[in-house]
Amino acid sequence: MVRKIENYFKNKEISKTGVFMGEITDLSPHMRALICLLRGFVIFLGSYGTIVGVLKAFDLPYNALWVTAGIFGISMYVAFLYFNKIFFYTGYVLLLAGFTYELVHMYLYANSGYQAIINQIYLEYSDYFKLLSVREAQEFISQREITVSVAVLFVGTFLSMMLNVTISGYMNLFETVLITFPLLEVALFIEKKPPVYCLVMVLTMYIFVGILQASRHQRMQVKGKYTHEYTRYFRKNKKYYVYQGNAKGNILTFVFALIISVVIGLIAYPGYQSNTEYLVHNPVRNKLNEYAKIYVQSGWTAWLNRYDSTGGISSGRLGGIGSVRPDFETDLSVTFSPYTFNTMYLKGFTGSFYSQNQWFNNTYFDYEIMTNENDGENPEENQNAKPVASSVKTKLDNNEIQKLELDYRPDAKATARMNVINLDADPQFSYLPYNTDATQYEPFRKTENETIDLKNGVDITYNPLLDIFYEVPENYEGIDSETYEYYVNQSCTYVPESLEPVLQEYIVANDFFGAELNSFSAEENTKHFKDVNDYRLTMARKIYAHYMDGFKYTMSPGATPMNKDFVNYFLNTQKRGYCVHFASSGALLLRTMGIPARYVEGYCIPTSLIAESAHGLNEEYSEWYEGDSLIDEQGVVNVPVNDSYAHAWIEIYMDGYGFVPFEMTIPSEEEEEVNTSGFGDLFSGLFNIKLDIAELPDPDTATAGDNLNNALGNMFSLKFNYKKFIIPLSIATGLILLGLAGFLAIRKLLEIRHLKKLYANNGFRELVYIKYSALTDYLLSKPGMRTNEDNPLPADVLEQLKRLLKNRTPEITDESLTKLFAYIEKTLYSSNPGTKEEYDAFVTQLAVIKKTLKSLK
Amino acid sequence: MVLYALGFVAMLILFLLLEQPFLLAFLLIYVLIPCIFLPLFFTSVKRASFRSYCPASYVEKGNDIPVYFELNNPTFCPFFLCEISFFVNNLYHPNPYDHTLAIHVLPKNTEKIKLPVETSFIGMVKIEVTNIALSDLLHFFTYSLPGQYVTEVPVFPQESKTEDLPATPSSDGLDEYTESDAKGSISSDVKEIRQYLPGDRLQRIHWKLSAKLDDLFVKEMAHTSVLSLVILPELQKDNIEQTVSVLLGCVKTLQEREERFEVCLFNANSIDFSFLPMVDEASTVETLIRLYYLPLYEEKDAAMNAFFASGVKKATVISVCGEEITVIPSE
Repeated sequence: MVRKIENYFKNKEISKTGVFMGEITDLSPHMRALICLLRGFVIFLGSYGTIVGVLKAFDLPYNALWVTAGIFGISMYVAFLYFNKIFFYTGYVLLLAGFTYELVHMYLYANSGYQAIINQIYLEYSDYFKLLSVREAQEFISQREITVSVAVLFVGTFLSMMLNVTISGYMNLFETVLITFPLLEVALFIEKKPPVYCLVMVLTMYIFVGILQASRHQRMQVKGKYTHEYTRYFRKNKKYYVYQGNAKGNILTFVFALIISVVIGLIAYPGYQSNTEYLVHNPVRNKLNEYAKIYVQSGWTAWLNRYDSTGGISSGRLGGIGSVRPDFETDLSVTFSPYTFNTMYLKGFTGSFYSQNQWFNNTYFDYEIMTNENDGENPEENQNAKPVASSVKTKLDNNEIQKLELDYRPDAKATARMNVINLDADPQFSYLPYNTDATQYEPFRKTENETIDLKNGVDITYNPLLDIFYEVPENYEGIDSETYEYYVNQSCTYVPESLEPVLQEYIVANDFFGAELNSFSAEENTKHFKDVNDYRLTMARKIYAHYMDGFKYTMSPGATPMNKDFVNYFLNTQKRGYCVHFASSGALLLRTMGIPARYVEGYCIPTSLIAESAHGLNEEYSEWYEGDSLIDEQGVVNVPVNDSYAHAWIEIYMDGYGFVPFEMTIPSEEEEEVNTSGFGDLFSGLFNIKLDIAELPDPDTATAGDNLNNALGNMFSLKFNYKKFIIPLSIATGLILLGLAGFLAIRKLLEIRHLKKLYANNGFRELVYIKYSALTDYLLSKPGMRTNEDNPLPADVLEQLKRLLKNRTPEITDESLTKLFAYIEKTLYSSNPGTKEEYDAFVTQLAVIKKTLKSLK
Repeated sequence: MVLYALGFVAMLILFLLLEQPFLLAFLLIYVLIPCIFLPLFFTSVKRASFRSYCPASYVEKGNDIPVYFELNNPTFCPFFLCEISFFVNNLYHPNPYDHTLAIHVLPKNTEKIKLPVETSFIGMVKIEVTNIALSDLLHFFTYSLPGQYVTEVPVFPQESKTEDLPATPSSDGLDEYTESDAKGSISSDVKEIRQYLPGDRLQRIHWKLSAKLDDLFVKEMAHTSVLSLVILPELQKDNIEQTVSVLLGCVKTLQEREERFEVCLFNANSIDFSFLPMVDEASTVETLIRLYYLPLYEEKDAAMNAFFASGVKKATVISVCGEEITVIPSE
């Protein structure tokens, strides 16, 4: 096809100008094989320098011989793909097939090696940025020297293929730098230095490619039958003939690049070896550091989150946040002695009043006073006086509520001490454990290089919550304070008028009450339970179970639409969210059931955090804890609590205990699965991988090591996932066929349009050429054509036609054919394109010829 | 150079933002390479030389004209980008295409490139090199080699023989081999003295003049010129190719018949005639080359009309116009 187009334009030009530039040749030998060899070597320098540079920078073990030989072999192989078209097409197919087969065959090793590299990089980043947590993927095989070598061979193959394209195919410096430099930058970013010789190798490649690219004629086409030695292109009446590749020039350039790189390496070496410490980074670098930290800890999706968590809590504001992205900086430094395996809570914000997607820590309620008429005057004489209700609007702020609550704490069974230093949490709140007299405290502002210790914090005395079943105590007499009673039973059961029917409907629809209960009155419902606390806890657990059943935990649920209520939208539409969603809706659902509940924000300290991050202090236990404990003595620990532990929960009023915390947030649904990210994801959809650890031999047996390979093969069974393969393959095939059909149809339509346009503009020379070409194509496909050329002369074609069509039809005679070809030659090779009538006659006769030819066997 | 400078600035910005000393190495490259290569380039480039030629003195239509370009670099500086701009034109069919050939030449080396020019028309094909630009390694500066290089190669039609050339009529007058019996000096019948051409009779040699001038000269008698034969090609634009082809055929036929003749070339612009004998290949080539430089015209028979109107020569004229041959005997 390409040849036809070229011939067409050539004939067009030569018929117009009489001259045409033929095949330009260089009289010196091309030495294509030598060029491929040299470029293979350059590819090797680039891929080896990059990969080994990264491995050495991160101190990863690998087998030097395998890696060197493997990358060298692959580099040479891919470079020789450009030798000619046969090598190119068959070589690439073999390479890709081999790559895929080996990847499947060595999947475990490759994956383990890849994960080992990633884990080591994350670890180094974590150390550099002093992160508290870091993601870690599982390495199935722990022998890093083998696994890393295998992984590196696959990565090296891929990198060599890419470099082959950018060097042999395009000779483009920018693309070459783009696929190698970022890998080195992963190490350089945290001042992990690859060896100088690796950098010299990479620099050699860059200089080589840069110089040849500047020379503008070192891009080598794959040599095929019709490949020109000099690439031709046409631009604005200018014809360009550009040479592709010269062995001696390449060698000269390579030697020069190598020398320059070595010189630069020697000059830069002293400076490269020294460490430069930056006390203050520039803002861009700081930002990059931030993104790096987030990626190491949470992955790239964390970059996409839109909410920047500052201090962790939202102070009761709901709905406007689409997602949460913690920065994992330490917000609170908490020192205490653990007394339970349950989660400990440090309360910051208490939301008593809900309105328009926000919780407020102040509350309003109507305080109804029943008085008798003429109250104060001789009450004995006014026994028949009717009571009159009058309401008094009362406002209670948070401090007042806290003061009231001091009287309603349960009896203390233990007394504990806690030291809290607010490093980065929202300073407007003080984060306090339950049952404490402590009030507000000032946050601590840490200066650079200052160490934190107990003297920087606030000592808080509190009575640990030990009861979890909350039976109403026998000696409980109720709330003495009228104000507090109103607060508990009025304010803390208040649901906005617009929301109440929605929540009631929701409760009924989801059958929270079951068959026995049919009222929203807590007093009524309590009769069916052991006591009021039992009712309250049971309902709370039912709500939790309901969440577990149909809701999903996510830190990116999306924002609530502006005209929607937060809780309504969450319960009826969204059905996914994080702690704020579950806590708010849980509190309001309980309130609808007549159960006093509040919304709380603060920090939680789960046992897992203590286990991972706490460090023990050499403190006297008795100075920190006295009394009953739910667990054995654990000593005194300091726990750094970061903003990912900012949390929202609810408090339910339990008679005899006051407001006690209750966890409404469900755990994340995603199982803790083996992290095969990146490498494995490419192929994991195609295969089901079954791992049976039980298949591993007992390490204590004598032949455990010998059987390991067999066991690995047995435990790793790879079943080709037909279903997952067939559907995408069918879709892809269908799309390709559809695309092809569409392309052919469009091409045909364009051809027809072009022909019509030519006819209208008297472009008969082109039309005749097209028709003539079609005729020769058709003839060539017929058996019996004597000539083997794909572009035979008109005289030859005439001779063949005369032979084929002799006496076939009276419309076609030798004379008519001779006249037809005379017309063709005249039109194609002279300046006279002929008339329309002549062309029409030509087309008519051609149609007859074609028809007759088709009827031939 | 702009891109290079942009790259340097980008590297510098990266170095400052990422705070990585390694990137200084890149900046060093940016400085080092120009410092090495530019002085070398400027001292070496003027010593390069160029030559274009064609070993063939002519080609037949349909064959390729083998044009060679040679670029010589006697220095140690490689020139990886040398752009040679040239035109390839058939004077009868000029075209607007400008060709540019990008080659390289290594140190102490001569790069020789063959450019086959395919032909499909007759005429004078002129390959004119207009510019030879040598660039330095990084393409900052370009130096143009001085000089103009032109190669001209005529393209002749394929050999053909004109079988149906009528016999040239004989004259009733004295034939060229007899002396006049008329009284008076023969010299009174001498029309002109001209150089000896192969085929001239020895009796016509002017021995005295020839001895004096040390070259052979012959007397052209007045009455002999009456019997000379002239082929007059019409340089009509539309059928010049057929005209030249038939002309060559006539020449070949006449040469085989051992007839003496001349070709008369008519210059339509200056309205004058050149008479050129075509006795061998060399003279044939030379005549055709001269023909190719003459302007073409539209009218048919312009040359013939001008020839007879001017009375420049009394001769039997074979007029060739396209495929038509007309023999007009002398009066």
